[in-house]
Amino acid sequence: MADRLAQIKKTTFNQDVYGPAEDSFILADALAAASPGWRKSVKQCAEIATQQTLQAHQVNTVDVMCADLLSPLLPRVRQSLDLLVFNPPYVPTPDEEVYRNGLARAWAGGCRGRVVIDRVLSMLDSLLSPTGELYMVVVEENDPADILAMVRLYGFTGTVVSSRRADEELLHVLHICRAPASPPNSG
Amino acid sequence: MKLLTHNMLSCHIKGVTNGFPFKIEATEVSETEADYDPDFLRHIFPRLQWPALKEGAESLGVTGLPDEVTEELLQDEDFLKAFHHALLEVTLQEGALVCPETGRKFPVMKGIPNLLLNEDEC
Repeated sequence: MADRLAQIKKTTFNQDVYGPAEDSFILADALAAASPGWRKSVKQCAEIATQQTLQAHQVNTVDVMCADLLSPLLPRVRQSLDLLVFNPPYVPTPDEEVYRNGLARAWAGGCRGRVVIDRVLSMLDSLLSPTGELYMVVVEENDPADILAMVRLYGFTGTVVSSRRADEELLHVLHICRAPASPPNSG
Repeated sequence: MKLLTHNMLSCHIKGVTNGFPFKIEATEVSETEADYDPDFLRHIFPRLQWPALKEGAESLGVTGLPDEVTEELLQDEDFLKAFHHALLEVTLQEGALVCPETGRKFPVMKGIPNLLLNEDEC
């Protein structure tokens, strides 16, 4: 198993790409504890860096693409994703920074850091298969308890599977899957 | 970009109703070896649109896939190897994905499709 783990010296990034940091590491560790496999993106230079990193690790069964979240996948992937791993832009910023070009787009999360996170949560039911799972990094400012309450409204259930303090941030990894069907209402 | 990915992508320009499958224009195609896993192939098969895979393979120069796939074929080693090769080993490096309805071309460079829309397409 050890030889399958990512090595930082083989990771490609540059001044236009937000490199691997504590948020990537807590997510990678939570995945290593659960099951292997992941994806991530921002702008073409980020995709190329991702591609080079995969090649440096001799991983050639992963495709990289450049898109607005999962939009081009939505019509076809209807409820058939088994595993979704997401390291969202979660830093609380003014909303307009979410849409501004540049490196800040890699982390700008708008109000409470929730603008992009909430978009993905609203797509979960269309994306995940009956046994599908989402692993997502968040910070304390995103209000994880509120995120978990929100996914319950969409028919999902979630837990915090890992937490870690890194400099100014308190990072958490959330694991979210479909809630078991509720028992018939006897009422 | 592999044909597994191609099989999952649709053109999502506002107003497009038949955005699947993208036509493929290939200027450079490569092949990379992938681990052969018959169980994965049988697991993924029901989620694929077979005609799109066959047509995509032909546009990347891979011929000989059957028009239809039966339960027996999914147990046939020769077929599974050809299916595996088309789905996971043949890679579009340079070219374009063309929307079947509007003709809009999305470039593929260094194996990476760029499916971002312009503002007037959202």
